[in-house]
Amino acid sequence: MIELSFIWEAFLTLLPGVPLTLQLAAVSFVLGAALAVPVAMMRMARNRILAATAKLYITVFRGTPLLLQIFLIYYGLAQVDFIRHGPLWVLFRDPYFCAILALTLNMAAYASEAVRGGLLSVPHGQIEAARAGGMSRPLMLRRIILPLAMRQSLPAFGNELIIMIKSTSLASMITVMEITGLASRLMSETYRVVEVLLAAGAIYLTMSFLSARGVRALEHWLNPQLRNVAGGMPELERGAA
Amino acid sequence: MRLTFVPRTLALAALLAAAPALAELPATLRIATDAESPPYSIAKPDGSVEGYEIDLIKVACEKMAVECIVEVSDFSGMIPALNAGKFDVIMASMSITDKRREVIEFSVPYGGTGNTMAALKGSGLEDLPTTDGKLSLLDPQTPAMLATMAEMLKGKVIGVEAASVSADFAKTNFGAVAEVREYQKSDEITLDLLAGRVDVMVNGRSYIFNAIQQPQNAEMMLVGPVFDEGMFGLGTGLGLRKQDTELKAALDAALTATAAEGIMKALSEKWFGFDVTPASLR
Repeated sequence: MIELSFIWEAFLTLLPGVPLTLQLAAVSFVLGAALAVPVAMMRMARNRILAATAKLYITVFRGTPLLLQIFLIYYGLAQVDFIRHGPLWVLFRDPYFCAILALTLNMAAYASEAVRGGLLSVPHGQIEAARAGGMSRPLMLRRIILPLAMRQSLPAFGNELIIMIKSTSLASMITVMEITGLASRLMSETYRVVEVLLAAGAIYLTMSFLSARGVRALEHWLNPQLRNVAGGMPELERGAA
Repeated sequence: MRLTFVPRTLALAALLAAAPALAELPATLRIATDAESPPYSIAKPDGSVEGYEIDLIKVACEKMAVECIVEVSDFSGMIPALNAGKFDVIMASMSITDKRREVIEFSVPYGGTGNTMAALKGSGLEDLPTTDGKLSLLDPQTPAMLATMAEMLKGKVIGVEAASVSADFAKTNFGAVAEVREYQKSDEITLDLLAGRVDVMVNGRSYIFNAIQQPQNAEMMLVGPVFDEGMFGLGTGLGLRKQDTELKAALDAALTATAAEGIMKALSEKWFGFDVTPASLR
């Protein structure tokens, strides 16, 4: 039997986990996005070693489950001698750091492919026009290529943000007490599984929905052509939902 | 795994006298175990299970003259599965707590191992005060000893299993001075104890006794006393649906008889190396 009053009680128990969940998602998203740009550049570099290194990193992190990556970073690296007994241990002994590191590296691998797609989609005509106008390469990159590439990859980044919010739940596996961590504690305390999962699901759903809305608003703002559609309705198919 | 027993006329007669509701029992009992808490129940490589609980339920089913089927299941899904009618009995070294009593019913306890602690050799925590035998939480000396221990545990990280009785114990007594970190599984605490992320682990005596004997855990050692009674006194029980009162009466009678005949003590000495028969059944 599902008790409605207990769902509410569970909801109130899980709410304190929201700030930690959002913090994990935001920090890993920002760091991951920042790391994605150099990785994408490396991946597209003419230097074969740089390109191959980036490719290997992307393949490994996109080709293995995030849970495995979290476990390997948390439990695996703790068995490597120079980490366990070196100066880095201050960082790696902390479950929060390990969670952020795993989420960031995972996010960067996916996001770098989005950035690469964005870079490749910049129309040649625009680059030629910039060149004809006498722009230097850095200026062209800053004014033309990156803004266009970013705008192009924005929907993909929106998806990444939502995936990131959901992925933070895996941090509970290494004792980080965010929403899912609190949920599994409540489940083992009360043995009422369905109610707790429903409450947790509702919280995640709300967060995903709100971020999808936020990303869509940002996209709308960055793409004037979307705003000029008669009737003022944005294209509902586009965006990160 | 299927355990079928031919009723023994004498045992059945004795039990019929003790539990008149026996006639209402189902012919087959489906029993769920998680096989993750040696030596309560242990999964063997061939997929079957063995252990103290398995031997004990075999005896109990024989006394009740029912056929018992033991199935391995994931611990977290067991209560909903029980209430949904997928199993009739949960047998998974489950501590009896008041909060769990709100959702399910428990049999009389069949195990009461108490709790103890483990730390790494050379950590300084081997100097934690200890006793020769069990330390009752009800003993008037105990609060002073716990205060001394809290002093030594200041600023340390204590690893416990989430929502366990050990977690309650650690939070109540050391939560103000130390960080109590919760894990899903005991083996994860052991890994972090060996890695140095956790300074001391509080867990069931049987888990810690078992863990320190494993060669890969050679750095780990027992520290402090074995705490018993008080919050640990309720022990481990079988989980049942609230409405199955006849089944509870029959299982209680069977377990009580097993203890009275000395079978529980013999089985626990075989699997644990010490007597886990709860004080209430001795």
